Amino acid sequence: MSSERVRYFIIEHRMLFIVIAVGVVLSLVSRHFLSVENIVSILTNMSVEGSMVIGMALVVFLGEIDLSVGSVMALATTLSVLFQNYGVVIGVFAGLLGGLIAGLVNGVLITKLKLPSIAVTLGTMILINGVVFALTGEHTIAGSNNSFLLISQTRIFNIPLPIIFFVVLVAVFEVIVQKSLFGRNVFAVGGNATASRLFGIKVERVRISCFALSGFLCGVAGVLLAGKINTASGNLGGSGTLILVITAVLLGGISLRGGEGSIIRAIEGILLLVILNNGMVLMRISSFVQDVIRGGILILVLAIEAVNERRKKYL
Amino acid sequence: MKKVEFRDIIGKQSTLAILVFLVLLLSVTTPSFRTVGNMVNILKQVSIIGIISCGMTLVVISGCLDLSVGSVFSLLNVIIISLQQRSNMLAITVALIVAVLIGLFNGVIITAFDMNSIIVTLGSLSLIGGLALLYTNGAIIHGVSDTWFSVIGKDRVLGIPIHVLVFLFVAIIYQILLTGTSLGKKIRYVGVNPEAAGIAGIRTGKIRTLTFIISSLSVAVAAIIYSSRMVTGSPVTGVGYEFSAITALVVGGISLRGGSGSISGAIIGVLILAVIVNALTLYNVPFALQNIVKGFLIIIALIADIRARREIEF
Amino acid sequence: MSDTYLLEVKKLTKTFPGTVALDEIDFCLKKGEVHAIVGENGAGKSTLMKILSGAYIRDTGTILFDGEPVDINSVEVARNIGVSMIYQEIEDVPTVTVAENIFLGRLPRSKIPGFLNFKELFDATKKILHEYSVDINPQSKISTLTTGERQFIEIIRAVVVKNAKIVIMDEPTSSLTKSEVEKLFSIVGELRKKGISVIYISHRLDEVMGIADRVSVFRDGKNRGTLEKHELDPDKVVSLMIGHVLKRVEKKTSERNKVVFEVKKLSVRNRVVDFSMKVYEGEILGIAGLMGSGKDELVESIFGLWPAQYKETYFFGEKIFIKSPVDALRYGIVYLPEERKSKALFLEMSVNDNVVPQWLFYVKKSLFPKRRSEVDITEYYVKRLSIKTPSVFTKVADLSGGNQQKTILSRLMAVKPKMLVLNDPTRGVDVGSKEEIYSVISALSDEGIPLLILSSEIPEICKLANRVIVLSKGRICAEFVDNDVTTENVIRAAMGI
Repeated sequence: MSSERVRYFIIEHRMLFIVIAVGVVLSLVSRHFLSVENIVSILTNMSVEGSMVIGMALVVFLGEIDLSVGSVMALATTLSVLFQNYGVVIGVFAGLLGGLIAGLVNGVLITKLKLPSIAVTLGTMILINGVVFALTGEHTIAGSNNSFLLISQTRIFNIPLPIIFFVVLVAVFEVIVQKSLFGRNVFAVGGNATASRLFGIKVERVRISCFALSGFLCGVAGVLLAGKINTASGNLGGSGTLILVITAVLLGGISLRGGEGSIIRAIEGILLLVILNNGMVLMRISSFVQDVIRGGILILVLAIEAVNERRKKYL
Repeated sequence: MKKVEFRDIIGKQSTLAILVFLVLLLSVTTPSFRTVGNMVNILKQVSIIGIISCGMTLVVISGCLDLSVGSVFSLLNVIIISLQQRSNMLAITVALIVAVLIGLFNGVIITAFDMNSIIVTLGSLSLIGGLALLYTNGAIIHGVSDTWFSVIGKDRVLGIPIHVLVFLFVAIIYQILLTGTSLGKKIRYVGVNPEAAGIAGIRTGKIRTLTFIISSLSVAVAAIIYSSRMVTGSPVTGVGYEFSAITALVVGGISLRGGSGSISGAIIGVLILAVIVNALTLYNVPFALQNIVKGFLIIIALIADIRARREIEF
Repeated sequence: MSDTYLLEVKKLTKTFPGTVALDEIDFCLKKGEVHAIVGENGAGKSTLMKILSGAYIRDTGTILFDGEPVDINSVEVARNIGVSMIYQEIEDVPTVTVAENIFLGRLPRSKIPGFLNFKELFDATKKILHEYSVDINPQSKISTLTTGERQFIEIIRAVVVKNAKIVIMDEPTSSLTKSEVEKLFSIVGELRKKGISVIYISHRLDEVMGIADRVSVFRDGKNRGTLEKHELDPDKVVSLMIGHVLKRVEKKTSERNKVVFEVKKLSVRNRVVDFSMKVYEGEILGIAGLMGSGKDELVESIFGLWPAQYKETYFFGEKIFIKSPVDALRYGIVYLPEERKSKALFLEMSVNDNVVPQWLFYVKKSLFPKRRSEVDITEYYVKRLSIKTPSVFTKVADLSGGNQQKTILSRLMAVKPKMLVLNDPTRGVDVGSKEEIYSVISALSDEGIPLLILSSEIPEICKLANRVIVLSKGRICAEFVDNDVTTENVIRAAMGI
């Protein structure tokens, strides 16, 4: 491995090194950090939030944004809780389908009506949140089918199912994004939609697909969450979730303008945030302080990206 | 080209027409709507969101969005109630100062780094919301009733509740500011074309920061009224207010892209929303569905707005 | 002789409201030849190219391809025929690799459905790049390439993917380094070898003479003559470009004793090098610069709209600091940007709203400006500049280009400026409004107000200015004063003769 490639790798995956550094610090601060149950807890949380991050990353590669991720996840969780009476499989299916449909609605509104994604997903975020409130009747509802919890409790080789599933999900999507025609088209459209259209890429189809996938992945997140807590309420998926997901993508060094990035880098971002969350909990930092810190990190990362953009412009 | 002008004139009229139509329809079909008590109810809700929306209008016209208003409302609410126990004047003063600082923070960060105001204020939402929770440690706090402070929220002058008068006062001041002062004109120029505004010698950053400060100050006024009326402070009171305000603006015909809009549009939007919510409550529609309605309204209004705007560009 | 021509244009006319862009023009292109077209701005070169590439549709006339008449009414038709245009604004995807750009929309598939064969992609790209002796790594991201390299990729893409038979290049060397220019020529040579025809539009006669087989000179929408390579003589070309001598406008030669504005050693990264200039009271100073000369970055950095690495500014002898247009306005220096739609106009607002901003905030300065006084100012300037508008409250987007420009000019004049800087003031303006703007400019000059006019339209600058600085690749390459300010001199200097 030439030194050039090593250096490239380090810069590309600088988040990973920061994660390791933070991990080391935390393990020194709290002896619970490296315990098996804590790591399992971290990774299980990751599987929920990380799924949404994959979806958001796709949409950001396109140069767009999806503000409805939290609400769609909450919708999926609610649907899973409601439909699990008919069986675990139906419950899972209901959640995934709900997410997919929500994503399609976003995609269609944005492409067919040519509306800006930020405004539309702001609207669907509120709307779907309303739907969740309606479905849960403003209470917290609990699932009646205890087998549903098997989703999070089943272990293969002593590793919980959600974690394995998530790792597979990340691998699959990274390959799709980097190596498949669809993936390269996403980057092409995000980099220059006009040129892509000129050369025959079906821009509308790519856009709808990305939003649909984002919705679907939020559905996955919702189902996994239901599999863990098996309750649903209108308070799920609020602005805290949205901020977490956006910050993760930004931390992964992915530009909001679109056209470049990788799923792995976004996952490194969410890993850092989840570890920070976990660390803050272990250090008994109140959740309120966590909100403050999360908001602060988002603003900080945004400022750094803005400065970078400006420097590039005048080169 | 004609189409645009037509719609522009019709625009404001059509939202007013919708409001009038709704009120008439409900007055005829729903007896409980017509009662004085109900009207008072509507007005009660309207003044708080209305004041916040007026502040938000200025921000939106200048081309930005302020999603932090809900959290700011919560923070100011708890600050006021907690300090009220010591001194009413102190409570009000501190609230105003904090509001200015927050507006300054939002404005400076967004303009100095040329950042997307939606995402930045989303960050502020979390940050300030956390501060509010920290302040009371998640608890609800109570203030002191029966001081002159409660007058603002509860009393009436000539039969009109004081908070409604405050709302009207704020609305009139802001409208004058918008249409009659050079600051107001600058806000509009910045919203229509920030680059051209800069070249024409308008300090875009300063103007936008001012709108954020005005927005936060508006939230402070609303928080003062609310605190005075409820005499309790909760760190999550304001949750969702930012989206209500945006919905009101969009429904009232104010474009989220900036450059156009008026205070009257915001007021009409707030009233339409309040009337619809009131109607839904009277018909015993669960609160949950109301958010759905709000979401739909945003999307429909967006479609209508973008359609009208596109005619200008092409 | 028709059958040896790949492309023939006969008596083609194209008009736009207010101008005749192409006037029954004739043009023919042989197979495998490099045919250069030279001519002033507005001569019709770009318009003809846009018609050939399908972006515009001709009004009358015939186009023959390989002897057969064709109706090029869309970009698709042009592409199917094999016409490919390389624009100055390169439409590529900067965030992905070179290989993906070249094969945009035609990425080689692998045996696994939905997936790509990257090895084949990079090998094929490498092969093509090698053919053209372009030494670029197929896996590099486009954003890491220089403008010149991006242009090469664009050309290669046009030839490879679109199967181009005719490649049109519009001012291809304006942003290239010397070595890149040579590389471009070798690529053009490769194209010629393959039998692909190249239409090469340029102002740089030295380059043109190096590479072209034939040169056509356009002026005022007509083809004034086509010269064979051995006939190429700079004087002949220039005389064809200018035609008869322009009506000599009686310009007062300015005294040039009082310096109003001075900038020293201005440097802007990659665009302007060590630029110094004085502006004297009562003079009209022209800066002539073709595309890529750096004139826009130059003026924007003076106004603080673009960061300068080094800049010293003096106003009436005193050192001043202009960090933004706000500072400039306070000194009374006003700026007319070249792209009025994006940088100057408030399209959705009325004529009145577009005239008053600077005046309201810098002259009137009242907290509560009265509507009446605004309207008075606007009406005054509407009359003075003959702005054609139904009322002062009409949306400025509804006005023609010329009237829009006059509106902006009113805005500048309303603050009683001490110096005006106009960037391409008659761009996209009809002939009638042009004359009106010219008379306003000379009227202002008569009052002693200095004007700095930047333009790529050389005859216009020579008509207006009593002193001209010629800018090329960020440096001053010539300066002409008083009677030496002739189109001929300036064109020669700009073309590098």
